[in-house]
Amino acid sequence: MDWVNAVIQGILVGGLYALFATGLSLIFGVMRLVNIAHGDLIVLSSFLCLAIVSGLGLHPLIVLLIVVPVMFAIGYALQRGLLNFTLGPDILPPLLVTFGLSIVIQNALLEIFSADSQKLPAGALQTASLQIVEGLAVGVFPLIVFACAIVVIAGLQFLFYRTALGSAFRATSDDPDTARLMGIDNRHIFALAMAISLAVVALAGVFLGMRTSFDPSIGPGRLIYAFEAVIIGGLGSLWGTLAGGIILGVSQIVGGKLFPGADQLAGHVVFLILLVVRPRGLFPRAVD
Amino acid sequence: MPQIELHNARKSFGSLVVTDDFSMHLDEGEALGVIGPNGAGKTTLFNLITGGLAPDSGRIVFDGADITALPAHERCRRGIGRSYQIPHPFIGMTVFENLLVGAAFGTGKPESQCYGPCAEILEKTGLIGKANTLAGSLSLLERKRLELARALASDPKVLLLDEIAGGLTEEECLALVDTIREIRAGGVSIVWIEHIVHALLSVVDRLIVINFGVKIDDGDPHTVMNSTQVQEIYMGISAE
Repeated sequence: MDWVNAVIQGILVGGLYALFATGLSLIFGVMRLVNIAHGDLIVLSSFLCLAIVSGLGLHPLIVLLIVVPVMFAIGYALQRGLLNFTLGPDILPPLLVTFGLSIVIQNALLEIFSADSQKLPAGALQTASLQIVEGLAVGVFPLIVFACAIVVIAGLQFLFYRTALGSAFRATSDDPDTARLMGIDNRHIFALAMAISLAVVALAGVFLGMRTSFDPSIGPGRLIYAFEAVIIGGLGSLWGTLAGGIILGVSQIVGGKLFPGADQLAGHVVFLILLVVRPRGLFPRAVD
Repeated sequence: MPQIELHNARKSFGSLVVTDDFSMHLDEGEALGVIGPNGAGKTTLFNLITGGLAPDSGRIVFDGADITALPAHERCRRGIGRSYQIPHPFIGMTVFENLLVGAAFGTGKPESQCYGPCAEILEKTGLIGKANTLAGSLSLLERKRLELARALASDPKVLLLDEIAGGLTEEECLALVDTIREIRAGGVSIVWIEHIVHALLSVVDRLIVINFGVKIDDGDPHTVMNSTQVQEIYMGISAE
């Protein structure tokens, strides 16, 4: 039963990793931009939530109603005011600029919030659990996170394949110059993609802060998890990203059980093995 | 009334001047042909009109308004449609979705109102049977037709066609000429760059000749084709 428990925990953590990764996958898909600051933006959302929680005394899940729109707006402004100027045939400028952004965010957070470990108060949710059978219980909070990941991915899938904005995303992703000739303002489309990406990041950041402690330096670590989930799942596939997150989560928890203290290593090793066996990921896009 | 005007447009890439002090106009409802040797600056001319390239100097006017500084997507929304010489379909989307994108964003209508017009355009361009095929799996002729169909979906007032007949068989070419005539009869002005002269001459009212970025002739198609300068450029014979 211990092992079943470990696998279930792993799957649920995978939901959080999928939320880390979805935004990264989305903007890479739409504009081929690798956002090195992605992890730090997750941590920024955690701190933003912390500041509001301690200021207003609300529950973090309610504060989501503020953090998500704020990060959405930050995403739009960031893309319109900065990142759009870095996009072009050369892939290096966006990498360098987002790397710089990562350092700026880390140091700004350090300056404002200090290096202390923080945690978002989850209240009764922290310990609430559901007994499934004798000896097997799952936490309510991890279940909420996992359900959120599924809703977000299903929602994005709908947005991409069933709406006009989704067509614009896919057209711009295929050929930005031609998309402009079809009346699509790609600067606006890119900004919307980044805004949606950061709205998902806001969710991920708040859930991260409720689950574990965080400090300004943990962003790059989250970025690695996000990368691994995206690559395992296959670039451009949102459901693949969820599968990638789950595989990573299960590897970490089961690995940690087998070799205590080696949970992160186990995740990386499984990632490397999958990279060797299936370099294009589990669910690669058919056309590329 | 002129629909498109270029006033003294100039464009260079480094020391290479591809368009030099270029002025032209297109009247409403007119079909204008553009010929010239490879590298003469014909496609650059289109890029200047659609907004893909900004001129170094000079002005571009559409429907009486100066559009020189307007971004490409705005020009599309005002009614400038274009097909590429090398087809650029959105390969990850179906043929119908390719058209929908142009229709929804080029006209600003909600997508649900675009289904009918898009289906009509597919019918007219002979692609209706391929509506749900991924654009990436189309043949060359179908891709060329998709270029035309997608440009039409944005409901243009002016259509810029860049060597759309190139690489087609004689029969395919004739069918395409019929389609283009039909589009024109629907009130769309046309500028057509083409090397296949007989196809071009069967459609256009006026012909422009470009060489080394300069307009060297402009007038009645047959007169222009028989002029010594054109003979010189195309046949390589010197005018006595």
